[in-house]
This record gives sequence, C-alpha cells and structure tokens, in this order.
Amino acid sequence: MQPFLEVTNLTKTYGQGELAVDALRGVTFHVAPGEMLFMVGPSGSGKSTLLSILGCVLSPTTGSVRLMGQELSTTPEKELPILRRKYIGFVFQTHNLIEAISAEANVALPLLFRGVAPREANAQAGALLKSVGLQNKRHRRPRDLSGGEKQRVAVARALAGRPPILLADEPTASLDAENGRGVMDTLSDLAHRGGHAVVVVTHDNRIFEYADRLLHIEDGALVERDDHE
Amino acid sequence: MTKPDPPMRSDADPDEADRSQAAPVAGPVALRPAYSWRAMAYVGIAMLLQDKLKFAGILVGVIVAVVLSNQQTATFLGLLGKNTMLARHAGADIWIAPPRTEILQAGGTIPDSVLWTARSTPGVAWAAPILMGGGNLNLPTGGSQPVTIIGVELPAGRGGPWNVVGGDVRRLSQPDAMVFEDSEREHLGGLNLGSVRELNGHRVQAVAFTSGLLPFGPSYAFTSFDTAREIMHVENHRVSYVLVGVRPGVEPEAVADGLRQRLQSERVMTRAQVERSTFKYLVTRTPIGLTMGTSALFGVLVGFIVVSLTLFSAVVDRTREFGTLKAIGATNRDLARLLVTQAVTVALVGWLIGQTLVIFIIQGIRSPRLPLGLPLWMVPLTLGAMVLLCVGASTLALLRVRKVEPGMVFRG
Repeated sequence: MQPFLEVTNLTKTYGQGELAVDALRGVTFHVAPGEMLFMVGPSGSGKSTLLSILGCVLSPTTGSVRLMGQELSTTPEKELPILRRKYIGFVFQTHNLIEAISAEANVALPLLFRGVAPREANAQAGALLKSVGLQNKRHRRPRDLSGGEKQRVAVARALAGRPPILLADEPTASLDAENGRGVMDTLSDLAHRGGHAVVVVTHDNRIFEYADRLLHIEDGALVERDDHE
Repeated sequence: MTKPDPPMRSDADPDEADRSQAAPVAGPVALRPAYSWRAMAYVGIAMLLQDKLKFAGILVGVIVAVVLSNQQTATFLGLLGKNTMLARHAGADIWIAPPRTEILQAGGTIPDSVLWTARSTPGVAWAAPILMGGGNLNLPTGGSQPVTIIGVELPAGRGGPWNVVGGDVRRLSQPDAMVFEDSEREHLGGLNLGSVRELNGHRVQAVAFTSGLLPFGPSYAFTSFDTAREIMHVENHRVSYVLVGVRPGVEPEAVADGLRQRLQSERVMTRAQVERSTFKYLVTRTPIGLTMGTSALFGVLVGFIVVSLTLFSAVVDRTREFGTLKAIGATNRDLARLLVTQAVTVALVGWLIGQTLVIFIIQGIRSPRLPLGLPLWMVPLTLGAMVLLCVGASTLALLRVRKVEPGMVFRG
C-alpha cells in the first residue's frame, strides 16, 4: 500500500551564512496507513521542525515530502491550508482549543472548513465527543473542562473529517498517567483499526509501548538505536 | 534505523468493538465548498462576547464617533437651516439679489426697476419685492434688542411671515403692524398681542407671532413693505431682493437664465442656488464649517483609533488561537472574514446605541434657537460610515493575523 507520508533527504536550515543552523539533515522515512510512528529525541533535536513540515506549516529547505502522494515542495503556499484541511488532524502539546466556543463547536470547526453543513457538523462533532467520552460536556467551554478533558476534545477535533494523517505533538505532556493512557488508547485505536497514519512526537517513555516504530532524532538526523533503550 | 514491528500493544478492551465501529476510515476526501463564513462569523462573535471589557471599549469608540459626528452634523445642518429658512419658506423660485450676494441677509439694495424687468420676462408668473434690514427694538425696561426687519408687499405677503402661531397676520395691512417671533417675546420685553414698542424710533404694534423663525442673526420681524421702508429709512425705488415665481411647468433655471441676460448688474439665483451659496458661505467664509467639521472628524478619528487598536490588541491576545485556526485549515481569507464579522458587529451594535443616544440628545437640546437637524438620510449614512470605519480599522488586525505562523502551535 502506498505510504501516506514519504520523506526523502529532508533538510531544514534556519538563518544564512555563519548564522545558519541545520535543524534537519537528510531525514528519510515513510509512514504507512494504519501505522503508529513515534519520533523521539532530546529537546532541540528537530522533532518539532519535522512535525511542522509534515503538517504543512513549514517549508523544507531541500528534499521531498509526499503527502498522500502529493509533493509538498511543488505545492503553492496558498494551497497548504487546503492540504491541512483534507489530510491532516493535529493533536497539540497544549490542547489549543478556541476558548470562546464550546467543545462541540471546537470539534465542528474543521468540519465546517471542509464543507460539512453546520447541522451535520454539529452532529458529527457530538458523535466524536461521545467517542472520547465527553458526550455530556459537549456544550461546555474549554475553561470549564479539566486538562484531560481538554486534550480529549483536541483529539476529537483532530479526528473531525476523518483526516488520513494524525500528527500528535507531545499529546500526553499535559496529562496525568491515566488521562495520558486514555488519549494514547484512542490514537492507537485510530491507527490500528481506523487505518490512520499516526505520527507522535514525544519525550514520554511511558507511552513508547504504543509505537509500531520509533524514530530517534538527534541533531536533526535520524539515528540507529535499539528501540527498547 | 526503524523496525516495522507489529503493534506493541494489543487491545483487548471489551468496548473496543463499539469504538472501532465508530472509528473513521482513513483516506483522501473530496472537499466541498467550506462554510467558513459561518464558522468564522460564529467564532468571531463568540470571541468578541467573551472579552467583555474589550467589547465595551470598542463600542465606546464607535459610540463616540457616532455621537460626535451626528451631533456636529446636526448642529451644522441646523445652522444651515437657519440661514436658508427664508429662501425655503418665502415661496419664490428665483431670487434677484444685489451683486456679489452670497447669503440672504440685511445689506445692499437694488433698484425697483428690476421688479418690472422680472415681471416682463418670459416664464415669470409673479415678482414681488422685499426689504430686509436691521432694527433695534426699545424695551420697556430700558435698552434694546436687535431684530431683522422684513417688509413684504401686501396682501400677497410673498416672503412671509409663515408658521404663525398667534394673532392675525391679516392685520399686517394696518399701519405700524408687525409680526414678531414667539420664542423671543421675553427677550423683546414681554411682548404680547397688541403690545406697542419703538423700533428705530418708529412706533410698532405686535399683531401676530411666528414660531421658530430665528435665523443665525437677530429674529425676524415682519411688517408691510411701506412700514419697513419707513422704519429702515430706505430710499424710494430701492428694494433688498426681488422674489420671482415661475409659471407651472417652466424650469426655474431656464427663467433664471433669461433674467440673467436682462439683469447684468444683479445676482440671479434659483432657490437651490441660494441654498448652495449659503452652504458654501458657511463652510468657506465662516469658522463654522471648519470648527464643526473638525469636531466631527475628531470623533470619527477617535472611533477609528479605538476600534483599530482594540481589534489589534484582541488579535495579539489570541495569537495562539489564530495560529491554531490556521493549523487546522483556516486561510488568511477565512481569518479576514472573522475580523470583518467582528468589525461589522461592533459597527452595528455601536451604531445602534450611538444613534439612539443621538436621538435623545437632539430631542433634549433642540429649541427654536438651536434647531438641530437630523435628517433621515443621516441614519443609514452613519451606519454605512461606521461599517466602513470599523472594517477599515480592522486592517491593522488583519495585517497582524496574516503574520501569525501556524507552526507556533507546535512550540509548547
């Protein structure tokens, strides 16, 4: 099966001349449908840069990124938001919900961007919140939810519109162990039963067990390492 | 480097069957037209309402702009109305005035032969002279008050008076009879019907009262043409203005052209030209236009700055949320829609409150001396102006939003 994400010889350099910093150096990997890929490494190793490029919010310096078969380096910048709408769901380190609107409205937003009619979008958002156990809190604002609940709403928002690729940035960082496991169970389920390609950036070695593959990044490059280290 | 192991964790949760049924099936999807206007409008208004202090601040800006601009415009229109009331109510289609006349006021005179020239001009239905000049009315308690004397030819009474609220205007034909302004009775020494006063050393008697006939200068006092001539000591065969009415179906402008050809020395103006000339005079030859225009502009400027800075500050406060919206697929155009919705919302709400306030303020301070004019067209014009102001003021916020990087949401 064709990979949902193919990254070949990817580099990203910030700055120019003597001030240039190589954030990514010749990174190559792919993510298949139904696969849960973890990217791990120390702070400043390039994980967030890589995730930003995969999420179509940052352009690479050189190399190739094919997202659902589409080459990002040749895609006009103004079309990147459309690609994000179509193909990518994000789970952020902090929930990043819109504080002024309800949990259900937060989840419905990507659906509205994708052209789902408002009534249908609300119905789907309600179903997604139910799937993460928040059916009774659908009308609450983020400030009225606990940290774990907010992150579950963020997961539900990432799933809205069934994007084939889910990018999760430290999804358990702001959660206790129990809530962290709940979120990871949901993501694992989406990969292994829903067929989504799930990419997780994390420091949290308690959740490594959920990974199908681990990519270790150090100084902007992938390094060989025993996955059980 | 990587190891394509099977899943490291097996799922044996009994609820899993249900969840897997609900789990989405991955794959590319076709995009239908986005409901981004509706989504962005909803989010924009929710953001506005959530930050109540900012919302209140921004409304104050719009309200200040609405109230100041309306109040100043109403005052200016009121003054304009005072200065054009004679032209509007005299019943003449055309005014023949001394040369270089810009505004109808006491001053120069023209020969009464103009009257005959006018009456013999094609298209003219009637022509009537009036005399206009200043006078000082002696008060019973001592001192005097100025009035603007208007002498009209009777019995036609072309040129006034109008808005008669007391007495009998037909008594103007009696010797020394005069019609005064009702709201000035106290200033004129407690005038009543039948009161006798001395005007420019000439005995006059109040036979009727008008309401609201207060020009920018002293109030109007109407009398017969002959009495006016005596009071003002105007030499024979001179008149202040000649009023002309045109025949039904004839364009006043065409008749005015004919009069201009025959009257080389006098200024011939249609009623509309008199009003335009008065407007131009007030704006360019007096400080009124500059003062009021500056005040109105100041109000609009304050509103613009308050709205602009508040919207900008709201975007700065919510930079991360805007970054999130971009990350989940909102384009700059979508976010512009959000800001435009916010701008239009504050314009509508601010305008509604401000316009209501203006109506109460104008009702509260309106008087014959200060006849504030708020024509109906000002209402939609103000609404349109406020929408433009607020949308324009959102430009700064929009420029900020365009610079928000969606990638920021990956930096915890």
